[in-house]
Amino acid sequence: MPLYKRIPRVGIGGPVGSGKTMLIERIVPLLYDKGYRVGIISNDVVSKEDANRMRHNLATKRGLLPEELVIGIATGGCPHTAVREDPSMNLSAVEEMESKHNYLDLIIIESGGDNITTTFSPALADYFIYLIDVSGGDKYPRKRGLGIETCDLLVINKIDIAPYVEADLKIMEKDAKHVRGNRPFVFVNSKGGEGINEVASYIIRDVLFEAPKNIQI
Amino acid sequence: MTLFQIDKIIGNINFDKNLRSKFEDMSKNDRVENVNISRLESERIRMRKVSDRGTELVLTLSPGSHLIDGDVVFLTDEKIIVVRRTVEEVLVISLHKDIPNDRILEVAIKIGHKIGNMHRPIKILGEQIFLPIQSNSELEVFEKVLFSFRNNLDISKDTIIFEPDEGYNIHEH
Repeated sequence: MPLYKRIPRVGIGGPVGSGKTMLIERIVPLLYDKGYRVGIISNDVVSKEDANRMRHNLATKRGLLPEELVIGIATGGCPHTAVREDPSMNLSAVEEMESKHNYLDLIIIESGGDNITTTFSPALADYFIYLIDVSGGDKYPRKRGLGIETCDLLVINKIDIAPYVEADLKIMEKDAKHVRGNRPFVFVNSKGGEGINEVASYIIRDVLFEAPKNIQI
Repeated sequence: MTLFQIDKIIGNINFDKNLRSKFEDMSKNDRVENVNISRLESERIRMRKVSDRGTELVLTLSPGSHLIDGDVVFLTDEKIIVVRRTVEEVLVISLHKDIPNDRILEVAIKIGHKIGNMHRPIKILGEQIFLPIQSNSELEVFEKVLFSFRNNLDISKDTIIFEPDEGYNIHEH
């Protein structure tokens, strides 16, 4: 049993290019504004480009968090194996963050871009956000898949380009409701900011349990 | 609304006689609340849930905790809150009893290899292998994957509370 407290963890997964990195870049400042301190672990297959970008945008440029609070992991093989089948690399990174920065309120773990069966091991993440974007077509939610069906929060991103890719958001809404029952989904435009507050609110409510800043339940 | 914080599992009404008797007494007085937990949620230690009577719970269990059907997570004289695992669809692969002795090892290992490649947790009861599925189409998938063993097994569907055998869950090593 570690001597330090266990920090709540959110896993974010989704296909390549669905906007996982930008969603994190949008959510983290909102959480910091509310007093929650966040560390980020970003998985990618061979590069650490996403981690480097977030470190630059959130730490170096904006000074929201120390640079060492963005860790990049190059996983090698299939991205989902590093967050589901064998999360040991990520668990080590989480434990390192917990031991060095135990004052954190939340750790966000970004999966490498993967397919619609991506999920997070419950040993790694307490809450799982799955992202798709409208450019895959409005059929995406009804085609189901483990990620879309079982995630705690489904984010449908890039709604600003829906008219250009002929994606009908009403169809996506109806199908998401049908596939997910009463579990939530949010339409988001990470570039313009629509829906970002709602995603942050779900994290604060369902993972941080609305604890006042710096006082963890 | 009151938010109940749960940090430990008190016991299980299926294994603890005292708790079972308390549960039955409280059932008569309409003091039982159920909280539905899926298999994936059962492995989590931190989550927010609502009981069937609207009681809001935040669970912060110790690492390694695993919720099973019948676990009691809240108990006072006025209220008992019991975990109910939700059922899910599974495939049932039933091996024929007449597989020749000199083929049993080959059939069993090759079936295990194919299921392993599909990244599924399993439960084994006698000659039956249970594994969860997401949709009806997976019945067809497994019929194809196990086609070469069609004379040695039957594949059917069922809806059960699926609890993988210890050490045979998807993320265990």
